[in-house]
Amino acid sequence: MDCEQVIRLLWTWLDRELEVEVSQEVEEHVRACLRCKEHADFERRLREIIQTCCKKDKAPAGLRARLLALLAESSHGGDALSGH
Amino acid sequence: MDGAGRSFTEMDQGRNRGAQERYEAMVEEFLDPLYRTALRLTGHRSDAEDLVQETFLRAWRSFDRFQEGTNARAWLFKILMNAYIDRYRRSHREPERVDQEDIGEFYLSNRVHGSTEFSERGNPEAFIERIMDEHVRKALSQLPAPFRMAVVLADIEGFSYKEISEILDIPLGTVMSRLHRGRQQLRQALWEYAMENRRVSGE
Ligand SMILES: [Zn+2]
Repeated sequence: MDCEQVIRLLWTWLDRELEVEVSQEVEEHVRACLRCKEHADFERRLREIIQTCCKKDKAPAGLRARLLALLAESSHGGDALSGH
Repeated sequence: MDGAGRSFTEMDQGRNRGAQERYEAMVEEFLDPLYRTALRLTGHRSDAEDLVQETFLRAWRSFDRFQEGTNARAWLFKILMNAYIDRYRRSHREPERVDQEDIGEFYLSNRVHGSTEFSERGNPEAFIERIMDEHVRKALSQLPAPFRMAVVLADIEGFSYKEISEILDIPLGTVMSRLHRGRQQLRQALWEYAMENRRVSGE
């Protein structure tokens, strides 16, 4: 497999979505080719950065409380309704 | 707010306590991932809250049909995406027509590795360190919605292509092409912000 083929498959390879045999071929190439290894390492690092950034956003406490309150209210109403 | 603000009460008849407890556990487990995804989709905290509330209301409504042991995370994300598409149908449709030139797989990596910084330091960390959270958020927010949905599901939430295909109800090939174009555009934007930032900081 040459660099051009590897580059075309790299994202799919990093996503672990290639067939086993193809994945092994990419892996062997990346291990031996500095240029493709640089791309692969960079892409892994970039994904890490994007994930870390976006995972900092947490649901506000108010939303959590509101959802749980709505649910509790529903069970309350449910009990009342189940009588009729 | 009105649509999402309705209580759960009107659709809870016959639900037992066990179902409610299981559902509560689900809310706890998936609230953060759903919220941050809603935030990436809508771009606004209050819209994201409404969307998440709508999602959990819809999920509760069809909780009877949810099979224990199946993929709860994918099920909830599918409901979230549908709720988003229903709300923002117009903005969802438009981006499909966006024509984009193919800038190549490794636009960003090529530029970073070709920079003088890289040849001086031997690694891309100088560039990586300059990527600010606000750049990532802004770059994601500027992707057309269909691309953004695919990128967020794959690169932040770690769903497989098959799961994404089911969540968005699109063929696998479409998942791959949206991911591909979304990732390209995202990298292009990150490079541009990094360059702007560099000029501003006077390097
Ligand atoms: Zn190579």
